[in-house]
Amino acid sequence: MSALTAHGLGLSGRFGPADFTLPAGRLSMVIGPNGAGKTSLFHALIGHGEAQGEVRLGDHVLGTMTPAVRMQRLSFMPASRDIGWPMRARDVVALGLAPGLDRALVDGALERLDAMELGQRAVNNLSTGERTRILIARALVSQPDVILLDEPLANLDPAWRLRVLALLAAEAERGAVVLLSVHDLMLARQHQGDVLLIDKGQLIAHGPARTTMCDGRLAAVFGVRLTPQGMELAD
Amino acid sequence: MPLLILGLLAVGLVSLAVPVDSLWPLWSDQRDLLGVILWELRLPRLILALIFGASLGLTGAAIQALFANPLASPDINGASGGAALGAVVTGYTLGLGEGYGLTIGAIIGALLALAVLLGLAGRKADSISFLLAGVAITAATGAATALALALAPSPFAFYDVYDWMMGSFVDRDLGQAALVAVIALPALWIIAREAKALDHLVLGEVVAQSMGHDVPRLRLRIIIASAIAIGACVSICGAVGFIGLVAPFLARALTRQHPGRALVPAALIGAILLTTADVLVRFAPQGRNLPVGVLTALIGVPFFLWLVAGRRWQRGLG
Repeated sequence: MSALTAHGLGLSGRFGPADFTLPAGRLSMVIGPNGAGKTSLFHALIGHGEAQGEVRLGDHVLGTMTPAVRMQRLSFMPASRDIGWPMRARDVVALGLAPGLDRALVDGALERLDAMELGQRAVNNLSTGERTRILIARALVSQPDVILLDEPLANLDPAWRLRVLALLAAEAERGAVVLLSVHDLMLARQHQGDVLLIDKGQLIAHGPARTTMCDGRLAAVFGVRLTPQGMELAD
Repeated sequence: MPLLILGLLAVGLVSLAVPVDSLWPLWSDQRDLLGVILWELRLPRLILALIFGASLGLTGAAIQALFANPLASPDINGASGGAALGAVVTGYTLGLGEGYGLTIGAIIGALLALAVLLGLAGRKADSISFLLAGVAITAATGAATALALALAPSPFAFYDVYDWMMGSFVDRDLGQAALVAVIALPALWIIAREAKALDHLVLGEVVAQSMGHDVPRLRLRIIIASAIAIGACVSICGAVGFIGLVAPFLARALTRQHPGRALVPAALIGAILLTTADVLVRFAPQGRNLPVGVLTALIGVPFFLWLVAGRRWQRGLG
């Protein structure tokens, strides 16, 4: 599988420009304070709005792929959990299935999120946490090479947060590029992969969690300090 | 789907059928009269009803999918009103009623109404702002249409237009039916091709974009094609309400609520509903001409209220 390379990536006035590479087979986390540009980074990557720069997956430019190919190579889950139609949750998962793929993948994705029964219900009648699981299943169903998730752990209870994190780690192990934004700094610092630290629309650090999230940066960007007991305000 | 096509054939045949007692004289000497009734009265009427119904169903379904709102439809969002205004202004104020003038005027009117709607309600409006914007546009176009008629040079403008404004397929010829077909059918085909993209739009604009759909272009294409189809139909047959609301709703019940997959079924159901309504208005008392738009409104309004009340009830529970 191939790495995701961003060149001169930006979103008019909100993010960038930035250059970075997300290696295949690794889970990367985006962190940054509110309004720093985490969602804008995702929007720029998928070419939404006035995105600038070029995103390549291996040798292929993402922007030139047809919908059928793109669905097989990349999936994105937004921070919004709203679904406007009273569709069955299972059908929502199936919307993520790229053309030509086996429909059994839908069952597989639902099972991985323990959502076979949720799948029979109307998606707009699910709780926000349940809907989050359905939307994660939708993002995973085509087993794409790149999985981008904006705050996938928000709205999940503690056990599901850990389960989803394990699922995403398994996707990375399969060889996928996995990028998710999180608000939980403790979780970001503990994880084995990379961290992209974003502040005021700029990518200010990118690398292994422990070195990227040094005390000085956390104090400067977030105004907090991580301690063995937890977290406290830096001043 | 096969059932819908069968229904379409059945209602088409019924629409063409000629009352048996009126046939007796034909058996003797005037066989040609039957041909005249079929070709010059019934067939244009059937073709127009089918195309207008399909246009209302398909554009209604597409606009609803685009705005993620089941209350969006050509008659409620003001497109039909805009088309009527465009036709009246072109015909009476500018005096361009001959040839294609009315049709082009109606298409421009529908386009303007949809552009105003986009400006007022925004890209993904909630039901309330959508309804309010649509009510405002419909009221404004209605008043402007009345004004244009009142100021028209012809003193009979109101009377002339009444029958047309309420929607009717009576006394249209094959040429008019062909004109509507040539304009509306390609527009409908352009919309129907976007079924998959409209299904993906359920997941939100950003996700659809991440799947490789150019959402701004999709939106523009659907709005322009809808305005062309509705404008062409309205310019010949007047404004017919509620088919664009009811048909997509019924179609989505057949496609497990997939708004894109419901496009073609919505077109078939719209065609069946409007042709059926046109058959029913022929049972009006002798000598009276009941506009088909009156019948669709009589059936459609209670349905619309039920839909609105049902949504409120859902919110109350949720």
